[in-house]
Amino acid sequence: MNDVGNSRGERVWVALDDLPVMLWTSGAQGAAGHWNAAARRWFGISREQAYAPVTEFIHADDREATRALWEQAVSAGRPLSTRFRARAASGEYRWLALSGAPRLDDDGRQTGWACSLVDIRAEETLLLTSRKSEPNELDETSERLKALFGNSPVAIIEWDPDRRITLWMGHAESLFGWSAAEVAGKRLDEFGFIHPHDQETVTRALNALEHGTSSVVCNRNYHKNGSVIYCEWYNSALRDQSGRLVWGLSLALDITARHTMEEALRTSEEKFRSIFEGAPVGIFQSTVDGRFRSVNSRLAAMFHFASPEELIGAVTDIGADLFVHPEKRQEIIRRAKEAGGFVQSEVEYRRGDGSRFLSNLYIRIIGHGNGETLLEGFVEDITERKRAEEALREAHNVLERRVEERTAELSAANERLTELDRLKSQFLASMSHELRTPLNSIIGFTSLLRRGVSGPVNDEQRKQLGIVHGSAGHLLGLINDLLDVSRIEAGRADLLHEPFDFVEVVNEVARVLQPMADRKGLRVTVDLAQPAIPMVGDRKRALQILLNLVTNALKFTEHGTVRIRAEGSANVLRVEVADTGIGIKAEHLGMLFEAFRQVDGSAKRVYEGTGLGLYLCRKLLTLMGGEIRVESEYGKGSRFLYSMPLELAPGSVEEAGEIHGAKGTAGGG
Amino acid sequence: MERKALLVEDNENNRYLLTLLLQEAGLAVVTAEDGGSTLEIARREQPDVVLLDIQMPEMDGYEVAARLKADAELARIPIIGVSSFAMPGDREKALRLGFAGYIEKPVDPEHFAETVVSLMKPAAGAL
Repeated sequence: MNDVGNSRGERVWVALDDLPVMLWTSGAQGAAGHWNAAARRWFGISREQAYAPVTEFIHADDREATRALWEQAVSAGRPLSTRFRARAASGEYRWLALSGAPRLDDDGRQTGWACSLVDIRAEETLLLTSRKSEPNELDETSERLKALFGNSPVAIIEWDPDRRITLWMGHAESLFGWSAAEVAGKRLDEFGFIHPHDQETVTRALNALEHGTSSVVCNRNYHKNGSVIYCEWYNSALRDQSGRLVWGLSLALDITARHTMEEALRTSEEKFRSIFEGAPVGIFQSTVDGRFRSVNSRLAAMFHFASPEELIGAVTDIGADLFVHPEKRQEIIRRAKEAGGFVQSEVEYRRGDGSRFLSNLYIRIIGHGNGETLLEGFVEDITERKRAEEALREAHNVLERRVEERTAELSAANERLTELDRLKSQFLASMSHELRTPLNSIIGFTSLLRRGVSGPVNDEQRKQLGIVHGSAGHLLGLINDLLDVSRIEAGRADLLHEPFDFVEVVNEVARVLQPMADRKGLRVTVDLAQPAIPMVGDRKRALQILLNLVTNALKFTEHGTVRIRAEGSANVLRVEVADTGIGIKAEHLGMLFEAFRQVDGSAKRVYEGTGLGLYLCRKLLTLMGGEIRVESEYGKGSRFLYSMPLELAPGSVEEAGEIHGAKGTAGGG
Repeated sequence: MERKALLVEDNENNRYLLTLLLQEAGLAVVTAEDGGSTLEIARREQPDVVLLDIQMPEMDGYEVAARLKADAELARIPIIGVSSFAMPGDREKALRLGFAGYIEKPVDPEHFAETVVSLMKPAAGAL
């Protein structure tokens, strides 16, 4: 370096020799080439061997194919691009990419070849050192450079100590968009060529260069059109004897594509790592003999390890260390081999502290690039689920037991109720019988005495016998009403389904009660809308209702009239029983149809009756699909209105109508 | 010829009352105090009607009726049940067993005998 030339040609040749790209130049027809320093270093050839043929370094397997391509390209005069393995200085074979282009003279004749060689796997930093070179003429040098770099991806930029651009060639123009004319004399950092985020990096590298340190820097640059280019820069410098920087030389390779690919790879890697690490299940790869290759954090956490690395380090035999039943692991592996895909198995694992957990394990066999067999799997902790299932099952069992118990209780209660019901019926039947038997004598003999069958009776005696007779009749009415209520409430009041004429019912009631009306000096009027009102249903019940209402009306009326109106139309019977009696106070209307209510109150029971009559009427009407209501003005009289279907809905059992006793005229055989 | 009723009734008071009521209507009355003696008395007395209490100790009215109906000689005599059973089905059961009628106790003293007579076969020569 004691003779640093001043001519441009000299500088360029120095640069050429120092390019980090391996170059080989040849004469026409590929004869006798020349290796630059980078190439000599890589192949391990001395300067004296600089013209050695390239073929002797090519791997035997690739040699013939490469030679054939080369000869083809040379004879056709077309650029060449190929790859082959070549022996490096260290003796090992590495892949090289060769790009070659013919040099042509003005007449288009081939004068030689310029080839660049790139070590595809090379990752070592190329150290650039300044070297002196034989002086050459500028023009020749430029020509040679152009020929050399016409097809090269390298941009060549030379700058002076002020960092003003003095040379902008090679790929520089096409890579960055600015022409040499546009940037000549401009400072490197003054035309928006360096990405602002990387400005500092670049400045540091250039500063270092001034102090003698060459560098390889990756940074972003701008194309003239604004797009970003990722470049790998090789910076070197020429210095004078005092070490002062005379010229800087920067060579740039476009690595945008590589960067984009790396970026995509990183994104993809991040994405899958995120899935891997974020998964709610444990994920692992392991060897068949039971070592983890990789696990995610979740799996480590499952076994109470702080990190995947700790789990991987701690476990040397998955089966023995983690399986509660180690033999199960071999069985699962065997199944996975047979299945050729994922197999699922419920596995109980144990942790270092002796605690256990139940899991769902999905596992499969995968091959590995180096021929090794690996297992890949997912572990899902199902302890909670199992517990929940267990709790659910237990709850279900408890519920079932309770239902069984309750059913048994209900069944027992039902039996008791059935028994009670039977006892009640029996009680009613026997009470009825026991009460009626003495009544038979009372009513019968009273009647006989009054009629003088057993001898003459004076008026006073007759009156008293009448009272006995009336009281006995009342008692009987009470018994019958009670029986009726019991039957209806027990749902045992079966209705008959027979045709009858309601007009006859009205007439019968009027006839039967005429004596009672006569005694009180009341008028009973009958107002019929039709001469006949044919019905289908239980005549006796229909009679009972009307009889009850008219009897009530007569009972609570001292002066005037009791009117019965009846009308059958649109399949509905409407009946009205109106009186001019004492009426009912508004506050009493609500409880009128309740059992054991006598509106008059309990202090002074002027009117006899069981208090069951209206209740029975309402119950019976409800049973027959009818209804009843009352209108009344206290002191002026009452109006009972009821309705029922002319034809009783089928479904009522056409069985036993029960028998009424000798109450007034309703009874009898 | 006076028509005859056989009254089967275990209760003495009722027997007395019903006898009076039947006699009042012009019927001759013979009585039995229990079911067991009924057939024998019926054969001897050849009544025109049997008034049968249903609830009696030892042999109840249904049983007595069945025996009467099973006897070729007595089967023709109409049977009227007289009972204080007033639950649904009592009357139907009686009628199903071939009773001519069923009168509930307490009987209506004004109409009892009248009802009995109406259920008897017309007296020979009455037409």
